[in-house]
Amino acid sequence: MKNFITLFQKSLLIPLLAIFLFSSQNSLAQELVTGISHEKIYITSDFTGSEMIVFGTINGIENLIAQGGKNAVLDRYKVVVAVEGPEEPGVVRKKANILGIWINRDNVAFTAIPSSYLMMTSYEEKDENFKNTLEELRVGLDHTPFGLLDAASDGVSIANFRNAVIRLKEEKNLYKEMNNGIHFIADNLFKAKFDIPALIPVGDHVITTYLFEDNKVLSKTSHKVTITKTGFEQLMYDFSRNYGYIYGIVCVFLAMVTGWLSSVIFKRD
Amino acid sequence: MYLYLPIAELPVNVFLFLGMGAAVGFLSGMFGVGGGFLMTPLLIFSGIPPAVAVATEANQIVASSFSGALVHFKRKSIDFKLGLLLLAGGIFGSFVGVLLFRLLRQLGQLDLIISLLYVSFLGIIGALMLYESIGFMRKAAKAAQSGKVVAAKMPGQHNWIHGLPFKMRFKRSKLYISAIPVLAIGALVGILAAIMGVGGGFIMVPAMIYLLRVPTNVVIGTSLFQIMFVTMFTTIAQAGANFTVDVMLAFLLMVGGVVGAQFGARAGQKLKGEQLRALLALIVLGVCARLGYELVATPTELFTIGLAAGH
Repeated sequence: MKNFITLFQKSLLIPLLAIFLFSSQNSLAQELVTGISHEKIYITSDFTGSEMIVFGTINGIENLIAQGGKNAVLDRYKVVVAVEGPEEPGVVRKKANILGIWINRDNVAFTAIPSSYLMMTSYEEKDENFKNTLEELRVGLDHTPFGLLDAASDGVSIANFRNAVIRLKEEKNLYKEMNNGIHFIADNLFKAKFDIPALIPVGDHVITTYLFEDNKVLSKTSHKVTITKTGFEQLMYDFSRNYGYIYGIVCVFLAMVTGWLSSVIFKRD
Repeated sequence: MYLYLPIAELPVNVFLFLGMGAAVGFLSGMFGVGGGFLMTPLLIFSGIPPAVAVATEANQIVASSFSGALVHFKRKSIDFKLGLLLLAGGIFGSFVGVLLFRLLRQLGQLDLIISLLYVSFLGIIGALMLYESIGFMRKAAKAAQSGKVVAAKMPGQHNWIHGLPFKMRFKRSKLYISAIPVLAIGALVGILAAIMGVGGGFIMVPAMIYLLRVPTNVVIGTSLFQIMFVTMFTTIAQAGANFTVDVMLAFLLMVGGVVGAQFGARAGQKLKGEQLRALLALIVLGVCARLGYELVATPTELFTIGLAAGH
């Protein structure tokens, strides 16, 4: 145990212990047991992003490990972890040149664009069969439907709009897929470290971990992470949403005080 | 040092935004303009969502116009009757502007309209100012050669504006003019304040001088008086209707702005009036060119994600 303690932050210890306790039970079927480093991420005034560590172990593979260690595990199983932000509706617009000026013209409305989507896998490349498996499960950016209901429109252009969402979100680090991002730090202990970007939307995010063997899901776990503003930021946000006009009056008052103070301090005349 | 903006929902570099406030404050102190027409595009260039930039800038202008109006109040260089009439038009215009703002945002054309308005207004005002100040400098140079003294060109005594009905007397400005153009100018400035995030001084001051023939000594004070109340109204309306006023961002800009304005005012005293106008005209045209270029240049990214209609 001591070696492990030095490996991790103290905050990971308790969930890790839980994993070891659980992993000693039920060794018949292969089953995932996972834990996460935080259940809440607070956006404080100095927030510029954060980290989220997902770690886990696979129950019921003691024999395999005894034979071939973690390489045997990696050969046989695939692990995928996805952190998905709350879905939101959105309109994607494309500019067109009209009379020399670039104007938003065509648009496609999606009903459920994940506000963020971070994914890591334990493998480098996927074959066609496995792609189909992921598609059925709607795992991965290529397989997330974005809630487009109207399939009657031209398929090619819709794909362009979809790809644009992915591209724009990737630029803000809100979407990211990292093959081979999951590391086995021990024979039966994997770790996926996610960078939570600065622009991460608030709300409930869902972390889903999948265990695959032969393109089939063997086991799946899910955790909820709440990303929330805190303290002054939360107070201001709630105030501005619930009492918009009063908030506006406070803003005006603050401006007047600042303006008055400046005229007193600097004696403009 | 980064600070997370609660309404814009993104972290910003505190010093960058204080510096931007100070730089624009410096220019506004130097030229005696509000600076909203510079600040709003700057905010948008630096990644603040346009809707938040426009509404927050209105809040910042409350601070700068309030401190300016206090000075003019003490000097008694405000025509309150004229100011109140401009304000009546302004409140109406701001109300219309906030609704328009909301509608355009839903249609996905807000950014385009903001850019088009900026390009046209900045282009026209900048060109006129440059033309006028260069003309004045040439005349002054000629006069210096011939040894004569030239006064700034005074506009003619009467124009079509003075033929309109509903005339009112404005004692402080020594004017007897129709209420219609006053209300109309106020309303136009109110709409611009809401849509463009500007005080509108750069439009109202020339309009008051050239169209209404208001004496120059009360023009600035009276326009500041109107701008202060219109931006107050705009801030409250934007906060209530569109939730786009970011108090933290506004505060950073205000603090930078009031400090910058002090140094700007001192620097401005060292330059001649026509030189200042020519310099300001060049800055205005520069911003205009930058925004105009973005409208016509092929964008690197054709797509944008916007709010769904009705949100």
